[in-house]
Amino acid sequence: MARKWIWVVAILMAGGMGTFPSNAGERMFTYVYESDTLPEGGLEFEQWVTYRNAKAQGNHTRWDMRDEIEYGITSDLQTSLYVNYTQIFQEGVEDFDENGSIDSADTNNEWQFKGVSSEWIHNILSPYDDPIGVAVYLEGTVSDSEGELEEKLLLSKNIGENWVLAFNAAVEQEWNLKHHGNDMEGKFEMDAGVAYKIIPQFSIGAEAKNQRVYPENLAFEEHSVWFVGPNLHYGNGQWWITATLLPQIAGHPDQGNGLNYDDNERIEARLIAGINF
Amino acid sequence: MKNCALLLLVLGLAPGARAGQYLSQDEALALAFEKPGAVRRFDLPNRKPMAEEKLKAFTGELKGGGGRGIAFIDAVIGKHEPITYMVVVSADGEILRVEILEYRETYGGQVCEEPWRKQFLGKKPGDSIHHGTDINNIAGATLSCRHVTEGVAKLLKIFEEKKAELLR
Repeated sequence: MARKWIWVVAILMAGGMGTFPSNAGERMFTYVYESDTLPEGGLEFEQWVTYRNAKAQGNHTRWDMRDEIEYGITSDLQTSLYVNYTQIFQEGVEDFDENGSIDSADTNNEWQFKGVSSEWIHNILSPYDDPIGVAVYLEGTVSDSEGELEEKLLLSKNIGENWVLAFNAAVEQEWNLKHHGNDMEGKFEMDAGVAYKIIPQFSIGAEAKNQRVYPENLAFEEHSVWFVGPNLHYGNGQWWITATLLPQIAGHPDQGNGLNYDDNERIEARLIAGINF
Repeated sequence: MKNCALLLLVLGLAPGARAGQYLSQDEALALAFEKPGAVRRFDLPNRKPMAEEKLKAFTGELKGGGGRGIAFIDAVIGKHEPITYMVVVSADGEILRVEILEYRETYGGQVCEEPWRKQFLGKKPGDSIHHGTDINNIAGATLSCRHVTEGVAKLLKIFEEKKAELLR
């Protein structure tokens, strides 16, 4: 019951604080969003690549790609359109069902179109001029098999010329569009990042994320996983690139070495490159 | 034809002031001085964040019968790249002109626009020059506004320290 209240409060916060949020421009982090938005009229293309590797056994690699166009509607509202696709190679990987027992050990190697996403970010407080930067975020995704809604609260702060801190709290609702009954799967995710600008163009930092999944209309917590790793960023006046390496450091329920492999791998790496127009 | 249409769309959507060189050094000095070819140049030690680069000061007769004056040409970092700018002051330190010579980033170029630059005119050494209070911010150009404002305030302090040497 308490879990459902967390969801209700989080959705109300996202909806009440601003309406339709979306994604920032230049990214110092690849998992955590900062709270500032593109300037009015700003236009940017971003290419996302996320690599995931290694289950408890067998061979498993997964590449998630997102092509994104981002536009600043006003100085505090931006929108993005994504095209999403995935390549998975899997051999001898045993999936676990919800009871923790071995489900299957399929081999496959396939590309999947993962639908299109519309994302909105509304900046409320500036990370430069206010005590803390605040923005709200809404993303909707539709593919031939699934529908998703994601709401986030984005907090960040630029301290002096060198330090950037960011924290996001996100809830996500996912529906399987191919099955009748349409049970909703919920996710709750927290992301945090810290970066230090060595020179104005280059920074080093670290990111962390914790994701919890609640299937069957939030009936139970299926798993909770923690990732922590380093991050690098380079940006000049025209383009930028950011990369993060995130090994899984803990997962529950434990499916080997203290990690969980339900929808997760031992290691994730994400690279995002953006070009300004 | 499709590519041209896309380019026009992109340019049409992009923010007003864009990266580029707006004035060469000679063009900037011609705006400040009656005889730009006859000015004296001084290379001064600079301060952060451009401590490695010399600060240039030019002295001569100002345009419009303003007497002797100084034009400082300096740079500050916008978000990632330097913004080259000029501040012209009279012999008593009053700011007469602020110009952006070169802006190198895609965003934040609104500092090049005259209404924002005019906020500095009439300021003198000792006046408060702070971003967000004395000098308005421009949404979407916060770092450029802040850093140019800090740069102008820095130059007035340098003027106070060096005016005797420069205007001798």
